[in-house]
Amino acid sequence: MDVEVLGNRGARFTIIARGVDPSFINAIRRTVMADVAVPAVDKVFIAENSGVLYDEIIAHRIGLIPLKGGEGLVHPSNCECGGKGCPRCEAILTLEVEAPEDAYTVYSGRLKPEGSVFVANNDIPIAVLNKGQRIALEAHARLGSGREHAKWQPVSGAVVKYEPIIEIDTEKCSLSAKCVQACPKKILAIEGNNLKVISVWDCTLCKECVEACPNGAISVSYNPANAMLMLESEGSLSPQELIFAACEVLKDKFESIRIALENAKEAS
Amino acid sequence: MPGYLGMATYLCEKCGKTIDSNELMGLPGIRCPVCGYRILYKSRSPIIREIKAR
Repeated sequence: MDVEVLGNRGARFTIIARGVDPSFINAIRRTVMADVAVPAVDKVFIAENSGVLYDEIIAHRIGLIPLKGGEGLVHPSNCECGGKGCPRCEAILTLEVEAPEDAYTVYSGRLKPEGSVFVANNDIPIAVLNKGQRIALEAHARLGSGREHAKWQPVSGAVVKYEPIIEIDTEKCSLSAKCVQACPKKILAIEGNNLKVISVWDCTLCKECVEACPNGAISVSYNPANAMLMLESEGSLSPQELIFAACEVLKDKFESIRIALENAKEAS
Repeated sequence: MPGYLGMATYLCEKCGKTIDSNELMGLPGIRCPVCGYRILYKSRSPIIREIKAR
């Protein structure tokens, strides 16, 4: 297998894996989405809320805020407390705010960490309060996975696709530029006396160019031996850390299959 | 005994007095027993609510 980093801009990370079945790359994508454990708020204890939003709406919004940290936390299903919630499996964040003016927006940055977990983005609005209105609450965060609820899904985008192949027959091509206009991703361009593909990985295989060409000079297909994986992190872990974590989860799953098989052999 | 479980307390818009539901029962209709004003706000219970963030 050969891996090349195609892009690494902020939260978005793209790799190309050559010589590997796309289903294997897809297994990593699905594991990142469903099985990598990250923290999120699961219980909210509201002491005061004189704003117009119901307690339930505020709790739901706080639950959806991406959280960082929590390295020392144990998954509640493996905790000695039996998942009831204790300092080993839960981290606390508090919010206490009184609006000094009308139309005062309370942002996620006001959630004060009391443990190892803190917010990944300080600019997420929680509620808008009028002067004198107050919110006081304690949020309990725990580890979970996207399989349980989407708030534990560490990525906002996770895409796998085959390598697109765009073949241009230069003898048939009349340089009419109809394909250049038809392409929704604008990946075709005429340079000098040639039609060129600027960025082949941006192709969505929509075949608009094939339909637009009057001479049938373009053909679009794909190569299933090479695959692209794009991850857009929500901020809990970096995309690279997510891939490593997904590989660990997959490794553990394969190990459990091996142990189960050995046990079955011994029993028979 | 304002604020214990099961009893609501109210706040008069005009005089700001805290009234519990027992005081309201003896009156004809909803009105403040002190100033007679008819706009009362129901206060939030002092109990901390646990809510699932889902």
